[in-house]
Amino acid sequence: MNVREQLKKGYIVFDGGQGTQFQKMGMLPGTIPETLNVTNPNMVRRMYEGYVLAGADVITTNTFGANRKKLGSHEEVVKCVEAAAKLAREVAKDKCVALDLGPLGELIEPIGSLTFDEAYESFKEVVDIAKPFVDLVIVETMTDLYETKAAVMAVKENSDLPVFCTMTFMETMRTFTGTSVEAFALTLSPFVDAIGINCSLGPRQILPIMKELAKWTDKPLMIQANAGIPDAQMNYPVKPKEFAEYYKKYINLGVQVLGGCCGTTPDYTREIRALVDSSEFKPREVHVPCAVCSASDVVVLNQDSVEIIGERINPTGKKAMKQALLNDDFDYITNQALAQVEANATILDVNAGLPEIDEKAMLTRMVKHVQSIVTVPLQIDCGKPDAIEQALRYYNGRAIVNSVNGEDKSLNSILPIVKKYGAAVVGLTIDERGLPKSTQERVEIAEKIIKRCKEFGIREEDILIDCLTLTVSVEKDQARKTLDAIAEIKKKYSVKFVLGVSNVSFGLPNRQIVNSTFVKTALAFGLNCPIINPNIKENAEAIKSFKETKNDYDKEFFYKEFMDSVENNMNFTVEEVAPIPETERDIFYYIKRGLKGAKTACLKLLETNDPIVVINDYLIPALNEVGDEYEKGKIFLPQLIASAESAKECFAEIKTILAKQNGEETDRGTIVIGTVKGDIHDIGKNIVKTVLENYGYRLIDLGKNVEPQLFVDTAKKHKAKLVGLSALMTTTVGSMEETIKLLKEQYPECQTFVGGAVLNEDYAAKIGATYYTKDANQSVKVANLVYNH
Amino acid sequence: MQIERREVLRYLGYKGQEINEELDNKISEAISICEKLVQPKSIVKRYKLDKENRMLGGTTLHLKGDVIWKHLEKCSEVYLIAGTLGFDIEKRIARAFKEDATLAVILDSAATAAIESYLDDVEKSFPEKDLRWRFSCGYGDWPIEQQKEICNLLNTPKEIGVFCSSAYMLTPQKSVTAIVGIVDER
Repeated sequence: MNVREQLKKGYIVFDGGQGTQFQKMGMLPGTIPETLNVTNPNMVRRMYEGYVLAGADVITTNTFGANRKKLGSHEEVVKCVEAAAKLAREVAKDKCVALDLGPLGELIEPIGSLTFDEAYESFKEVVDIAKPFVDLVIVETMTDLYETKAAVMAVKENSDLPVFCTMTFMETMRTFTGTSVEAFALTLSPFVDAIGINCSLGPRQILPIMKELAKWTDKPLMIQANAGIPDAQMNYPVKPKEFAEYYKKYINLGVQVLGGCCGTTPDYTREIRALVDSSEFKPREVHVPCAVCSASDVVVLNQDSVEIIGERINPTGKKAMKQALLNDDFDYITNQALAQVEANATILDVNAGLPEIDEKAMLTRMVKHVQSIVTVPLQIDCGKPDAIEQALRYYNGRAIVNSVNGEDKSLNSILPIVKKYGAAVVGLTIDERGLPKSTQERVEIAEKIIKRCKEFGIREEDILIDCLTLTVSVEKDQARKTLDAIAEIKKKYSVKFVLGVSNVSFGLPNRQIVNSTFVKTALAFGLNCPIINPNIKENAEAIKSFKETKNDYDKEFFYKEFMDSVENNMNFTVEEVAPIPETERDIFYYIKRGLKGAKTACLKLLETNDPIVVINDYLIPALNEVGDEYEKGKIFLPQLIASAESAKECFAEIKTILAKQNGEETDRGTIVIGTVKGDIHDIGKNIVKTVLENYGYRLIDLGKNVEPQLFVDTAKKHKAKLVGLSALMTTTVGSMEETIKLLKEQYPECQTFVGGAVLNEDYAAKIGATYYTKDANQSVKVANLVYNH
Repeated sequence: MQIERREVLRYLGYKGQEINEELDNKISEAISICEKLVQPKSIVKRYKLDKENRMLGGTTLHLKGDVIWKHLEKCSEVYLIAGTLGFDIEKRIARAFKEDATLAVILDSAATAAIESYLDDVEKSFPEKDLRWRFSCGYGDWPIEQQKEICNLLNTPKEIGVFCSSAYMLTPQKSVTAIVGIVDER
């Protein structure tokens, strides 16, 4: 059977449960079933034969857990996989053999400690060994979308084999790790030959999940259910005939690939065979809407959708973001991401375009970082094909690529990547001729982009056109040309529209009013996704008010409102900032109690005092008092943290003032901090970081599971005199020791402090750390010592 | 499952300090967030002890170390338990560290209190009442490396979504595996 051909014309019957079969044949619980390929091949042969005799078109190799992570070494993997695949080939004869890839048993970052690349390599290793013997690959029982993507890509990029892929869901329609059915379908459909659901539940419970899946993919569907949900003695309740009876419903839904999972036996396969042989095949008809997603959240883009794309993670024209990228200050990006989502941005734009930095590396790093912070889908904002490709590879979901333009060079280099990863794409209506002057030019370029996308196999509805806003103060009717282009293209095509709006008001006073009336107008003309700063109140309000009033007025009403705002603002002066309110209590009071008023009290002090005086005479003494109280047990952990947090706001204010005065960053010293490689516990590290930061130190937080070399490189780059390392387990203290060793070799002038549940003074000395800190307060003392404060 | 305020405070190192209203509210908030987000799940299997071979009977698992056997001296059967609070609370704690570190440390303690309380409930559902306290690998001389074998035996990734990393840490972090000895009737 040619698998790809068969998928075009009919059904494929897969085999059933393996573990349960082995246990029946006497395998002891706790045995890794894959080791049987070597230790007891006869048992494996009997299992394979059972399914061939029962009428399966495809038998699955006994390699579910046969990977480096579970078996330990390359040699073991080779032995086990080769034996399993060869034996399956021999037994299968003219039937097909599917290489089975199950989860690695460890989770990928940020939840786990495995990297995407390590996961990819582990799967690739198995594929390379098995590919001479198998006809296809089945990636199954997956619970994490990112790991599933690594597996599927490892197959696609290292073989020509068809790949089928199933994940396992709870009745909530999510996997254990939170992957949603829609996100699974949207993200992986571009890569796979068949997609489906297996394990965890019986055919009755999976049916509603399959119905949902069917809406979000145009690929052939696959089912491998358990024989119901077992009781405490592991007895499966659904019997073969009943099982096949349920499967009729799947046939009616258009499911083409049918097999069994836990608890099913060759008797079930026989019933499925009979069912399939008596069923006529009708190809499934489905139209998947345009949607983008993260691993958990989906944003559907219909023609009348209005979704905010947050613009703030972009260094262009944004001084603070630029500085953050240069300083590896990912906390700043974190805050920008969270703030925008809080303000209802449903998609975030991510841009790393700075001439001073390696855009390809930084863009990927930012995408990985932002997707670990928020669950909204991302828009990859970049024009360089290699940087886009790498970012898409590491993106855990379906992204928007922003953007291609009307030039052949852009279209030919970027669209193949968009197609490969199944992304949505923004088409910018500009080409080699420069900025478009008329409505007609914009429409023509959009049409060219749409045509070329289709040639590459990208659907019209997955394109978003950007009709480009030009500055209205230069030429008043420019805005109208943009708006008319949107309306005109929308008449003919099912594409969606994005537009960055802030350009429109450039050079005008009181830009906010102009921007917000323009957003409303553009939405009235058919814009779907304004790219804006959602944290500007006027922007958010404009969108809200548009949604409320759009049915009451036509688009010309909004246009008039916009033009009025332009006219009125030609001679407008900016208002003064409101004065700072009086404070009654002093700064000690607020900091010691961890209250929000500290900032106001600090500003008050700054009116009459030098910033350095405020730090030395107020903030530090207040924090010291708090530290003493903590040490004496007068306050406890959350109170220490709350005090530190309230001081943080004060330091932020002072930093801004000092930066203005001196034109440079002022802090009490730079400290690099992180949890060591292999360790994913970061609570201790986070507490220490919060407290140190709020003493005015500049913390570079590398997060958890950090490679030793990254500590060294970062400390050197930022000339940090101190590196803080955290480890919670005896098993990870080894990588702490390794990190310290590496630092001593490559950056000997740097000192280290270590902490974590299993450490003590002696242990710390043994692994070569300069200081042991038992808690956050202690780490402040160490930092003060190192930096002479 | 009950998240006791007293327990949350104990994990936070509380020793009777004065708590102002703001902190008090935050503790309540943390407990209610935690109650809302936990998805407790567990898997339990019962085994006879093969004391001669120092194994869990009918399996391939050797229980290493002496302390565990001392602990199970009066038992000839045990329950092997794995329990978890799921990923949502884990993600929420991580997010809190970016937004409100005070809330984050309290949430972390609340979740610890929650998983312990949940496992207490699981034990209460056993018919036997005379049980040894939960013993986990890493205690005494029971090597942490056996964490992986336990997860494998209970099939935790598939059954309850608990994974064991190469450094033998459980994810989600608020997860526990343990042996509970059933004390023989005299």
